[in-house]
Order: sequence, then structure tokens, then C-alpha cells
Amino acid sequence: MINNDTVFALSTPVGGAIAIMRISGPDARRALETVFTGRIEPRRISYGSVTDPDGSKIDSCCAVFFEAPASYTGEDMAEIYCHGSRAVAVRLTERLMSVGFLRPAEAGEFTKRAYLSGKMDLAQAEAVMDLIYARAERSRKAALGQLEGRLSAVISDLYSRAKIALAELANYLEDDTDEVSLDAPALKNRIEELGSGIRSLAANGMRSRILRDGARVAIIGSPNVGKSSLLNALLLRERAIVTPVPGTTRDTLEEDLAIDGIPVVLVDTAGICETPDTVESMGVARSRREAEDADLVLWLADGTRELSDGDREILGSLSGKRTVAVITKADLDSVFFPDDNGTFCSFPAVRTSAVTGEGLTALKKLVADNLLPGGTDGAEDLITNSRHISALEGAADSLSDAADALTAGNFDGAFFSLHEAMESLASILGKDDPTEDLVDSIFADFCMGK
Amino acid sequence: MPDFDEQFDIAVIGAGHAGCEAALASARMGLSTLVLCMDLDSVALMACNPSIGGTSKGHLVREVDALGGEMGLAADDCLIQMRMLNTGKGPAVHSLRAQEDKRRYHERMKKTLELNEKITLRQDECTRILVDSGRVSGIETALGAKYACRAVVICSGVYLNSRTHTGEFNRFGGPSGLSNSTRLSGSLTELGFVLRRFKTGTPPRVAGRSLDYSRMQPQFGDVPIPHFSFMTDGIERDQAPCHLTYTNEKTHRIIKENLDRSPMYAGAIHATGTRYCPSIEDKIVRFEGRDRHQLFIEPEGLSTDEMYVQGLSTSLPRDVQDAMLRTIEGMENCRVMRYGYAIEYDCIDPTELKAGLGSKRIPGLYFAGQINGSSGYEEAAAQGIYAGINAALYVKGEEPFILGRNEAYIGVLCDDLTVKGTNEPYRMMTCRAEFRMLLRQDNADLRLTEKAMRTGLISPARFDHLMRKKELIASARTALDRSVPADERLNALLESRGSSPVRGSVKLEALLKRQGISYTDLAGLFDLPDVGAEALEEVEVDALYGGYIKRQDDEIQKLRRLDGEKIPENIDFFAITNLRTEAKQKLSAIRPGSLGEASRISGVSPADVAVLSVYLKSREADTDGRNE
Repeated sequence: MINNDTVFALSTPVGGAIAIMRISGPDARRALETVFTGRIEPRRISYGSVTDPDGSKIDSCCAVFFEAPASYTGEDMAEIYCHGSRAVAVRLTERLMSVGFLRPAEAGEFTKRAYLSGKMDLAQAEAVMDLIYARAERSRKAALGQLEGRLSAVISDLYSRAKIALAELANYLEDDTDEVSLDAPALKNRIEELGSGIRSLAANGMRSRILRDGARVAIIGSPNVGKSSLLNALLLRERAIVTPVPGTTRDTLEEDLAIDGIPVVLVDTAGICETPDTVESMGVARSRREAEDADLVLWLADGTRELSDGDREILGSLSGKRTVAVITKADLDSVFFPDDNGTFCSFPAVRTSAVTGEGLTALKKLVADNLLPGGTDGAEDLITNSRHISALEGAADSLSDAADALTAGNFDGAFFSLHEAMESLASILGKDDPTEDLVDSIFADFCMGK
Repeated sequence: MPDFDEQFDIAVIGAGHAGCEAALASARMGLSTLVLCMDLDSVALMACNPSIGGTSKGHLVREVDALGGEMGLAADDCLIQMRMLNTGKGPAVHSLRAQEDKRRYHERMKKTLELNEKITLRQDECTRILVDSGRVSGIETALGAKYACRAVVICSGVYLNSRTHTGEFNRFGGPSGLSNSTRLSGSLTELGFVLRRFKTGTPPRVAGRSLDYSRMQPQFGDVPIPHFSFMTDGIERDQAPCHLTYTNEKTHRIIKENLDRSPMYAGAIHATGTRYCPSIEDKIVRFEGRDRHQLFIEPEGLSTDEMYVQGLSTSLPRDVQDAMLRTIEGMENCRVMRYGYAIEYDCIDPTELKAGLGSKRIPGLYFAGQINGSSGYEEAAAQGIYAGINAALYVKGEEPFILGRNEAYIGVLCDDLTVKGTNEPYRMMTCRAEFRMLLRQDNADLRLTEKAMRTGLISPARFDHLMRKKELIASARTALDRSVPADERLNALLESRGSSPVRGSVKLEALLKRQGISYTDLAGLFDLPDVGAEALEEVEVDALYGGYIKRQDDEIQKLRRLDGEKIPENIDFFAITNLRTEAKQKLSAIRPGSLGEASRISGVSPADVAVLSVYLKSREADTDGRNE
């Protein structure tokens, strides 16, 4: 296979002091230029930062560019050396994904590319094939392990529901005798129902991911509401398990801790430049970005003063985000409290004091409950493979496209999207010919015309 | 060659829908072509329904036409009714279907063969394929003739060792009382082909004057009359109606009570039937909940009173056929002229064939139509022209003409047959085509005609027609590629179509993408060229489906890349240690011609394809190294 695409992968284990991100392929230079601020000159190490599209810094790092064929893979290649925390690795990965012309490398792919571009001698061909074979075996075994029992049953059920919906539509489209009619609204309802089922399964997958990789919890709020105090208070009480991650304390402060058994990366948005003119808008922008990345947001409101316009703006940016409202400074006179049902601005809420420690236990319980409703025990590893999670999310997106197309009377479009959904689900089950299944289903369930 | 009576470039065995296209393609490509047919009165015989086209089948006819084939032109000439189907469902399934005058169709096609100087049309039966040094060298016939040829296209339809069944009665013979071919099967077995047994069936034909049409629902053709061929200039003629009626509980009861007399259910037939065009007895058994099934009464032609009862294919005994027909509304006094029957016949496993329908083992031997396990006139014609072209290219020593799954239904059809194989008579369906929004009947010429230029089948007139169409499309696109100010008239139009109004200025192109806004609508308000219906359709469908089609670009690139990586014919898959055993077996059995084909074989995983790819690369490098 000729490599005209460009791939990237983290080439070191997460959690070390330094992590190396490798990019290989014809667009490696363009990728580096897009995300890295430093000067790029082949084979010269350069210092700079990796930034988001809006220019805000993700991490300070070094990078080097190798021009083809003088690189490990024989292709254009870039390496970025950044700080080794999981948080940085995750954000760098997301950033590279977001440029639009890169894809994550498969295991062993750099070696395979090296071989294919003639960087290795023939004796190594066998070794490369061993590698691919071993990988396939491993993922097959992993897939089997994962797909045993309930998960397999659940995905198979979703697959066959998508297949039957598609067969019904296909049969209507294929029929040219006007014998078959289509109840489009009913079909649309079924598609939507299926889509929401798949979405909740993907959410379940996220839950497993949180248990395995940790959750990102962002502390967000206007200046001087007590963000850093809360962070410190939480850390103090968990001192024994605090592991400060070096290299991340730049714009944001990140700390690893465990809350009720859930690994959590706590992100404090303290340290943002608070010039009087721009403070509110920058606070909102920052909140928005942190909120987007986070699995859970702790929104802090100062209990001793009424909500400011800035508070309200931040609040607006949190709509649709899993959020816990924290009313701070409970040791002082408060001007507002959580509602009787324990919520504030429709978010579950708690009053805390960083000084007395009041409410901290309740807060941790709220955090745990909201990250993993039902607790850690019930969190069965139904889906943990991120490929499966994204296949499920893809299927759910396709299903909602299909529902929209049906509403618009665009049956060809509905078929297209429904077929996409079916293929996504088939990929989890390792089925290589969903079309054959579809044809079987049409013949089995419908009486074809002329 | 003193041994041979006569010498040809190519021999086509059989002159049904596949054979006629194969012969015409070969002859039009300049090769002397012998066509053998067991009964010249059955050339291009429509042995089953008197219609051509339908969903996906109509697509195939348009593609055959776009490649310079005959079926579309002949069908346009002999149609007695034409309809554009599925107009309410979306352009990907818009399909033409024509009711044909069977006798005229046969005469029209036979005469086309007769008039071609390169074709020798002869009544005889091919009994043996001659192979010399591993390649096709000629054929032998029942009358004792020996003809030399460099390629043979076998289009034997349902005639190989066929047997027909009507109830307890069965007869060793071909369809409709015709003879079957009894010796060619043996020759194929001798050449190493494993033969299989497939089955199909046909409904009774009844006397039109015995029917009460006033109790049925007439179905008329479209006016103006649409046409299959891109070269047909418009058709004006009176059209004949079909009539719709239904089976009912009484019909179903009679069938159920007599199932034990059906040869299929009684076990007299041991062949695989179709699931998509089941006999009425199959429908009753499999879809028990349905209280009625649609039937169409279709004229067999204008010079006969015989009517085809579409939807009532059956092999039940004569008396049961009479009884069930008389339960049907409007058919109470119906008189049968020909009884329905099932027919079983020999066919090969199409995975024996390369993408271009030539044998993987015997160069020069090509197969098309039902012998490959397909069904349908259109599927046959499509394979016929494809096999004819490739046999001719083989004789000329040129590269095969291969259509990808992203280029044509013909590509999907032949890829499915040769890579995946089939366990039942294969029918084309739009849902089998993963790029179905691209493979529409309206753009068959845009997809295929230029690509087919190298075959020599594209006449200058056809090419000019295509160029004109492309110019018109381009002029419409240019005109649409401009912004217009949003005024009241435009917003009034948008509102009347349930579309949201615009402010400032807007691209005409963007407006056309909206549901319910047509080119003609916009032409009413802005200066747009009149480009004619054909070009207009392209521009409008492209506006609506462009986004979907673009989303498949990556997939198409990947398909092209994999299909472009050829696998050498002499490769030993068992020598590739890292392939899984299942993959080794599947690959060895099917012997795919490219990585793309390999990837579509069920049981061959993406990892196997990757291993294979690395192996091929290392082999290549190895060979290069030795050459240095």
C-alpha cells in the first residue's frame, strides 16, 4: 500500500518526563508548521510551543524535522518532544487530529512504512510481517475477549436493528411495482431510538475510559471566586496520593488525584492574565475551552456576592456540559444557597469552604456521582476500546443524518447514512461484508417484486 | 490448419441476450465472429417476462448502451410501453422499464446480427471446446463441424442439460419446448470446471380475450415516452397498457392444498432457486401473513393475444394452475395458452473467472450470462458485452477492459460474481452498489462512454452526443457559479417552496442545493442558459448529491489503489507464512487478480491484505534485485 497519507503516534509511554510524538508522511512538514511555533529547518532541533488554532499554548517543547529519505521511515518525518504528562499527550493528540490531514498510526506502522520505502533490507520483510500478524492476532484476541458475552450480544442487536431498518428502506427503494409502501415517520422513530441507544452505549464506553485513563475535571469561574483555594483544599486532603505533574503548570494548573476511587486530573484555570479590560471575555473563552475538554466542570460561584455579568456569561457557556455548581466561601455570610432540591442554576450544587473544609466531602461525592453514576462497582467494562467508542459515536451521528434525510424526503440520502451506520457497527463486530447481510435480510423479510 | 472446416477469431456459443451483445461487440471491434445458436428462431428470445429494465436492471441497460451495446436501442425500437419507475424515491433508484413486443425484439436483434458483415450466424450445437497448449483453439459441433478460433464466449443461458417441470410432469429439454444442449457440459467438466445446478421459473401465459380487464386496474406508459438509449431521439407511438390484479385467500388455499404436487416441494428438483423472484408457491409459504400478492397482466406483443401473468411464476401441475388462476379477480374465465414451469440447468462457479470474465486457467475461454450463475436479460446483456469486449481485446493482444465498482453496475455485477461468487441465481440490486449515488442511470454515458473509446465500440455520433451534453452541463455550471442579489422575487420563490429567505447576495449554485429548488425555477428569475433535459438532470442531481459523493472520495481512492495492485498469477499463497490458514485457503481457491479483489473475499481480513501487500513488495524488490 502506497502511503500518501500522513500518520502520527506517541512513541513513548505516557507518564515519563518527556514524551515523543512522531509524524510521518508527505504532510509531516505541513503538520509541524501548523501546530508548532518554532523555526523549522531539517535536522536542526528547534524550541517553541505547540499551540491551539487560536494561538493559545498547549505546551512548550522542542521539535525536529527530517526530510525524506533521511529519516527513520524514509518519508518526511517530524518529532515533537513535549512534557510527559497524560494531559499534554491527550491535548497534543487532539490538536494533531484537528488539523484534518493526519490520522493516528496503526501499531507497527512506522516500521512498516520504513520497510515499504526501502529503508530496511529484505531480511526484515519477514519481521515486519510477523509484526503485522502479531498485531492482528492480538487485536483479534482482544476483540474476541471484548466481544464475548454481553457486549457481543448488545452490538449484534444494534447491528441487526440497523440492518432491518435499512432492509426495509432498501426494499422500498428497490421495489418497482408500487407494491411496497414506506411508513417514513415510523422508520424515522426507530432510527432515532436506535441512535439514542447507541449514544448511551458510547457514553458507557466513556465511563469505562474514565475508570481506565482518568477523568478531566475543570475548575471554572470568575476571578477571585476561590478556584485555587478549592484546588488546594482538595489536594491537601488527598495529600498522600497527590502526584504533581511537571511541565503542565503554565497557563493551567493540573493535578492528579483520586476522588472516591476515580482517577481524576483536576484542572485549575488560575493564572490567566487578568487585565481589567479583558478579564471577563478571556475568562469566558478560557472556560469554554476547558469545559469542552473536560469530562466534568466544577463551576464556582462566590457565595458572598450576587452573580456578576461575567458569572452569567460563563454559566451560558456551560449549557449542555456536565457540571457541578460549587458555592464557595461557606464560612462567610452567604447571599445565596442551593435550592431545596440541592441544585443551583439547574446544576447539582454544594456549598464549600476552603477554610473550614465544610462541604468538601459532599463535593467529592457529587463529583464521583456525576462522573460515574452508579459508582465504580457497577462500571462494567462493556466497551473500553476507543476505536469501538468512536465507531459507536460515528454510527449514532450517521443515524441522526439518516433521520434528518428521511424527514426531508431524501430517501437516497437516508439509505446512504443508514448504510454508513450499519458499516460502523459491522466494523466493531469484525463483519467484512455487511451488504451481503443486507441482501439476505431483504430476501428473508420482504417479498421482492418483479 | 487443415483439420478445421473454417476459421474465425471468436466463437460465441448461444445467441440469447448475452450472446448477441458479445457477438456484436466482437464483430464491431473488427473480429470475424461465429455465432452458434441451437435454434435461430430463438435468437434474443425473451423466454420469461416481456419486459426489459426495472430498478438496477434499467441501470445496466443504460450502461450497455453507453458502452456501444445494442440492448437499449433494440428495446427502444420494440417497446410497447415505457415507464420511468421510482420517480418519488430519489435519482439513485430512478429506473426505466419497457414492455416489449417479444417477437419484434427477436427479429430486430436477429437482423442486427445478420446485417453485420463480421458475423456468421449459424444454427448448430457446440459440443466441445478445443484447447491446444493450454489455450482455446476451436470448437466442435453436433453436426460434426470443427471451427478454429482463438477465443470462445460461452453464453449458454439455461440450456445446459436443462430439465423443465410442471407438476409431476418433467421433460429433459430447454425452455418453452425448445431443445437443450447435452454435450457441452461434459466438455466443460473435462476442462476442469465444476458444474452446479440452478433453477428458475416462469408463469403461465393466458389468452387476453378470456380476461375481464374492467375488473383490473390499467397501468399506462409515460408520455412523452422515455428511452433507454442515449442515441434514441424521441419515440412516438401508441402504447399498450398492462393490468394490475391480485391473488386472494382462495388462490392461496388452492396453492397450499397442492404443495405436495409442486416439484420443488415434492423434492423432484435438487437445484438452487432464486429468493428474489420466488414462485407463487414460495411466496405463499414464506410470507404466510400476506393476504394477497400483486399480479400484472402484460402483453407478450402486439401481434398476439398471449398475456404474461407477472408475479405468478409456478411449477404446480396444470390443473392446479387452471384452478388458482380462476380464483383471481378478472380471470374467472381465464384460458391458459402455455402453462408455467420451473427449469433447472448447469452453470459454472463464476469465481473460476477473472474480472474480465475470462477463465483463470484457460486463456481465451470467456463466459457470460446465466452460465455464470446470474439471472435476468439485463444482467446477461451486461456480461455479454463485457465478455465480448475482453475476448476481442485478448485476441488483439491488448489489456483487458475492466470497470471498477465505483464506475459501473457492470463492475459491481462482475466483481460480485468473480470475487464473491453466488449461491443462487444472482440478481442486480441497487443496494449491492456501495457507490449507488454516483452510479445513476442518468449519467451512464458520462461515466462510461469516454472510457470505452479504446474498444472502438463508440461511434462518432455517440461521442459527439456526449461532448454536446458535457458542454451543456459546463455552461449551466458556469452560469450557476455566480452570486445574485436577494430580491423580493427570489424570496417569494423560496418561500413558496418552503425554503428560508436570503439576505444580501447568494450563489445560484447554493440555491440549487436546496430541496425543492430547480434549475427551471432559477431560470425563471435569472439569466440561465436553456441546456435541455439531460444536462439539466445532471446539474440538479449533482447539486443535491455532490456532498454525499464527495464523502466517498477517500473510499474510491482506496479502492483504486488496491485494485491497481496486481497479484501475479503464479503466486503461491501457502508460501506466505504469515497469512492465516483460512486466508491462504480462500486466496488459493479464488486466486484474486489484485489486492482489491483479495480484500473483498470473505474470510480475508485487512491484516491478511497488509501481509500480502508487504509480501508482494518484497517479491517485487527481489525480482528487481535479480535483474540488476
